[in-house]
Amino acid sequence: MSFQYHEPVSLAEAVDLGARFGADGRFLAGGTDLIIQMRRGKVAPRHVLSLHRVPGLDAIELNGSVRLGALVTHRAIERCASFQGRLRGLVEGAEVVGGHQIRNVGTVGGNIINASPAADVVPVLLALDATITCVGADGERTLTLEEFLLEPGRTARRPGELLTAVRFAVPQGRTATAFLKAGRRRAMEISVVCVAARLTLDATGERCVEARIALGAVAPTTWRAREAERLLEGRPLTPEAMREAGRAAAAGCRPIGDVRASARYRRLLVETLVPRALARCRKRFE
Amino acid sequence: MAEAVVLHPSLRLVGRPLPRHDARDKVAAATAYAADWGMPGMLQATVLRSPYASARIVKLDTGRAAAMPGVAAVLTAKDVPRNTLATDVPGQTTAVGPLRATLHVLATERVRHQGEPVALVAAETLEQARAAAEAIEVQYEPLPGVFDPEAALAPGAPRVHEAGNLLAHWRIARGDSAAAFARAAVIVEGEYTTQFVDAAYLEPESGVAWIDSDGVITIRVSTQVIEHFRDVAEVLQIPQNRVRVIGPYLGGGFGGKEDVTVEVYLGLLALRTGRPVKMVWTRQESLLARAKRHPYRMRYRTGASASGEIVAEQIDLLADAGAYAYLSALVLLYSTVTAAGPYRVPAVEVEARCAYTNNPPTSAMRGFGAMQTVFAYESQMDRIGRALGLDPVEIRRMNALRRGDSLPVGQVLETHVAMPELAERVWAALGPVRPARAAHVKVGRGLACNLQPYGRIVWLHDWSSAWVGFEMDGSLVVRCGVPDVGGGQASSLCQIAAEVLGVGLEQVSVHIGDSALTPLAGTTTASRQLYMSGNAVLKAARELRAQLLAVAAPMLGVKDSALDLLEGAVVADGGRSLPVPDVLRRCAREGVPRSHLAVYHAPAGEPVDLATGSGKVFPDYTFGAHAAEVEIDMETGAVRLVKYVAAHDVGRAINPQSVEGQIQGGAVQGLGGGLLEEVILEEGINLTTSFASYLIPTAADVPDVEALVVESGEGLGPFNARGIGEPPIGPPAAAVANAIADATGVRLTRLPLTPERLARALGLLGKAG
Ligand SMILES: Cc1cc2nc3c(=O)[nH]c(=O)nc-3n(C[C@H](O)[C@H](O)[C@H](O)COP(=O)(O)OP(=O)(O)OC[C@H]3O[C@@H](n4cnc5c(N)ncnc54)[C@H](O)[C@@H]3O)c2cc1C
Repeated sequence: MSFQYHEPVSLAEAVDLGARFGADGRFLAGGTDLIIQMRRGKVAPRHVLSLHRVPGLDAIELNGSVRLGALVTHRAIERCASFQGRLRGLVEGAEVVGGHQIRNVGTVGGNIINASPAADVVPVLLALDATITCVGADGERTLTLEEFLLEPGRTARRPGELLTAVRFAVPQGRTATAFLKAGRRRAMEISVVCVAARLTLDATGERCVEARIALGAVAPTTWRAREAERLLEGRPLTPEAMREAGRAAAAGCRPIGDVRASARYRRLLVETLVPRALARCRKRFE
Repeated sequence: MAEAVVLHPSLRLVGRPLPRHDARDKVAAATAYAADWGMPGMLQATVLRSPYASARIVKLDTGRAAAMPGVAAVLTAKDVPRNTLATDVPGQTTAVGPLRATLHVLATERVRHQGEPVALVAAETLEQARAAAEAIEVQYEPLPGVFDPEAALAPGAPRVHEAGNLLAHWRIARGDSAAAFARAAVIVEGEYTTQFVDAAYLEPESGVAWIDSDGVITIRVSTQVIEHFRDVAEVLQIPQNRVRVIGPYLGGGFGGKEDVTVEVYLGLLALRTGRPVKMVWTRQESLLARAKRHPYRMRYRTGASASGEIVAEQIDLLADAGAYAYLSALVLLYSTVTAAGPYRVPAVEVEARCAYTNNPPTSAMRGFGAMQTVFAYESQMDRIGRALGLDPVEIRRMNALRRGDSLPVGQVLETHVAMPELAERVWAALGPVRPARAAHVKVGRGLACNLQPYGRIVWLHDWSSAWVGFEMDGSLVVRCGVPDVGGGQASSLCQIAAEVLGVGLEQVSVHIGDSALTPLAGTTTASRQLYMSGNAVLKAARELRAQLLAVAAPMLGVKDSALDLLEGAVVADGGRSLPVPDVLRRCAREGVPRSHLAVYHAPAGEPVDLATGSGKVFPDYTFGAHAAEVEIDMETGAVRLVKYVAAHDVGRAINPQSVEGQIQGGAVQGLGGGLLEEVILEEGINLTTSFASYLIPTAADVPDVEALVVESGEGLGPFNARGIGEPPIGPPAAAVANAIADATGVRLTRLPLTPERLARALGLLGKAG
């Protein structure tokens, strides 16, 4: 493993270096995915571009919308007081990533670019209809997170492009979010299945006006259970409706079987965890 | 004479939870483990391993690798003076071919498991060594393999070794079980399966070898057995006194460092190159190729009377010995002897076999065959209790062994058997039952007891030696060749010596683990080290005390029996005293030694004929009971441990802190094997070679383990201590399985107890299968 190490000190320089090295370069954030992949020989970049001296990439900004800099750590999300209300689901996603050491350095940008179908923070961002911003040689572009995620380990990022931020609207009114993870262990664990949900109720608190359900580890990318969402929208949020949504999500997902769990068991988890995540949201309205 | 010395009635140090001398260094990262060692001019070494589980080596060409930059040596089997290592397995009952269990240092024409070492490389840097290993040309021709012991014993199965796949077969038959079964009111039958488990120590296999200025090949290695210097000498074909093994503190052993690991390879490379050589296995390598715990298939048939007495048991055990024998035959013997658990069973038949397969080798691991059986016999016990409406404590109380009873093998229990009080205590310690926290949650409790031998098989004639001596200033030195695997082995020896010789712990220096400079103390395995080396140190300290007091007596004008050693002084009745250094100076003048070398011999015996025999197999046993409370998610099968209590009769706790550490660590490791850990193999190919897929418990996965240290005051160790290294790993899997059955009514019989297996058993995944 031999490579050249760079420490750009401005966004412009980082973008420049990214453009110059293209597919030969890799940005380094927390390194909790990258270094392992390099050591296993899965990737062998000739240039490693640390992002740590680029100012501003680790900022959390709130004004109408939330902007998470790509270098925001899981720990920073966990600790952000503004996320404890309607964005509680985001905190729940971040606080189960790895262990303390991983969360102290692992970033939201790395979680997205790594494009693991089992990533824990990505489903919450998907449920929040997040968009991402990339900057490259051809300037800046903004995509929805959903269109950005292509397949395991691959995003729509062009070679050399730098992910700068994730953005989503601050949830308003009767909205709640929740996240649940099933794994074999309670820490340092790749999700066997994870579920993020966002629900908005009408003014009376009876009817669901908007529902988002995103699932990890049940498809090649983090997956929106649209059929399940449709079943909920416009209907009262009854236990039966939530169970129906769970069944629909279980029927629609495409999990694999591996050493952690069979596909069949993953479907069972989807069917069980979707209604539980929805019930958690509903509880948060009370 | 030494035995007559009466100790101070109230012990000062023994029995106290004193902080260990090695603890602070470890926390501060000051301990120099095997891999922390470095020397000028040191080479880095690596092993080339087979990617196939079963194949013929048709071509092996090291030419290109040897010519690469930085490469100092490339070795294959033809470079090894003696390529086979043999272990004797005495006391076999059934002839199953040669019992000198062999293993190859490097593969010759055949590889028999994935990860089998094929070649060694030493180079200036690790990168160069690895590059050269990759450049070795090996052409394999895959051969059919066999991956399951049942299939291995079927007629026509591919042979792993020429002599056939049956490696060992033990049998016990006692009483008329057919007649007893005929009288039984209930008969419970079960088949239980355990998995491959890895030792998963923090510190992977590692060491450094060099040829010292005296020409002796010196190997500083992470090992539980410094006496492998003999095996190194055999492989190198040099005299045993030309090899020295130094064993630094270990980052865990758990049996995985009982067989040779890197030392033979290091010896070969040092001898070939004449330079210091270092070898450190990666985690992936360790998980891939190191010997695992044996998977067992255990069939039990247990009959009980209507009131709950066990009347008969039929047991059939089959273990996967992997590709090489290692210690499989002995592990199987432990299973055979303990198969009926800590219970009186008048009529027993045990058939135990282990077979070669093309899976990774299996060998020693904490519990050593007495562990897998706990899962089976304690599940059976629970089912009988349930069938008869007896609660878990009651069914065990009725059947518990007592002193004077004998095990199925005929060995009479001569010391206190802390059954059933251990079971009663842990069950009570669970406290009031908590209500379930949610509608989909059920709460259950389980109990499991066990017995585990401590000390080696009596016909192995075990011994340990230790040297204890005073320096002229009154400070004390203990020399004893124990490897300290992290259990506080060295520290407990200090406590014993300091107790007998009346000094503070801070005045003791201990030198351990050096085959050339410390008296040999045998292996740190078999829960034997406190028992054996503790007794050796105790004996040496008592002799030294007698020597000293005999010199001091005339100085104080009293009989030596009236003297005591306290706080660095010899004290007589009435408060008169002499500083120890004064007595030591007198010893020097009179030619009385200020040290003593003692050898402790364990009670020995002849091999027993298991089938008919009644005889002693092990010196003694440690008994235990564990209780678990679990919460089950009835919709997903997820199991959460809520409460865990573990009790063992340790005879006497020399250091209660270390004892609690063993109980807690053993319980957690046992829970890992019960709930999480599994080496997953597909046709001999290991799918779990990282800690992301081989799952050991984290701090978040286990509740605090409440350790109940029970002291019966009876045991064969120093101050009547019993061995506690292995026993706590036995009961956890069974305790949890029994708790799951209590909560759900469903019994899991295959380890690990995964949520998916429970979900399937609960019918959540549709049809069974
Ligand atoms: C022990 C352990 C446990 C883990 N547990 C979990 C878990 O429970 N849940 C979970 O979701 N993940 C887990 N992970 C994975 C990992 O920690 C997360 O995905 C983390 O968010 C990655 O962030 P990072 O900053 O470390 O990324 P890095 O490793 O620095 O980067 C990952 C990839 O993204 C690229 N990259 C990073 N930032 C940018 C950017 N701004 N622009 C362009 N490219 C970029 C890198 O080049 C690299 O290809 C675990 C990892 C480990 C080692």
